[in-house]
Amino acid sequence: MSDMNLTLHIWRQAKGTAAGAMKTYQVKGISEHASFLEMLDVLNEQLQEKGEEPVAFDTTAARASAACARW
Amino acid sequence: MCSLVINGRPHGPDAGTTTCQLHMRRFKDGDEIYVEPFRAGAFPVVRDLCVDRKAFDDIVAAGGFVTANVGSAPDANAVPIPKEQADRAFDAAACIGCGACVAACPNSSAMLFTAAKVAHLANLPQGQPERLRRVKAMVTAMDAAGFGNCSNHYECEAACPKGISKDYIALMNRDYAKSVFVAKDAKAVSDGAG
Repeated sequence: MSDMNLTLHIWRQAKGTAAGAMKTYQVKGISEHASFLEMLDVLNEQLQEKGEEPVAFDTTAARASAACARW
Repeated sequence: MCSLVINGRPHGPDAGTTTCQLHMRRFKDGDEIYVEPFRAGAFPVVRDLCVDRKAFDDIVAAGGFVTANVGSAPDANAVPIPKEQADRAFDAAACIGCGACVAACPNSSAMLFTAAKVAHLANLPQGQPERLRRVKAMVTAMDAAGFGNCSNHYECEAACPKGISKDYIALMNRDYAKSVFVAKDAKAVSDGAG
């Protein structure tokens, strides 16, 4: 399968007390072998290149030992 | 720990899978994907897709432990536990506290999480001395955190990446009822009634 182009609708909220909203992004060239969190990394790289704030998401377990999935 | 609702389902479309084990081969070219944080009053959004799950820590701090002077590590088989009982305790202990059960529940109930923590120790001999005190403290902490109650939708069981059974909620409810009656009995004795 070739790489994928996707449309992402992601909840953006600057902080807990701020109003949030869904925002739409396009990501291109995502490998089918990538994990979902790696796909979000690709999006964040694109956002940072454009000078936008990256999407905040929790990755502690995935980047350490994926304890939550393998325990 | 990942806390994403992907296309309306906590941890995404695969059963028994956390977000960090979800791969893009599950999607097709041109797909639209909706990504949201876990939604619950007791899990306030910190930023974007991050939520604060301190409420779970409060529940565990209220009773998810055994108060015992354990000394050095005991012999592995010094306390015999029947295999079936050990399996039930281990199945409950498999809960990773991700909060998918809360995000999936229409009431934002944390009863599957709390029940898993209660059942883990309730199925072991080490958990018996404090069993009723524990369940009462943990349910009280759960209510204080603002989680809703269970109304038997069982969305929690379907969303749980570790396959925690809803049967543990029944165990917790039975133990909670016992703890209420024991407390009433104790009060009646202290008041001088029969």
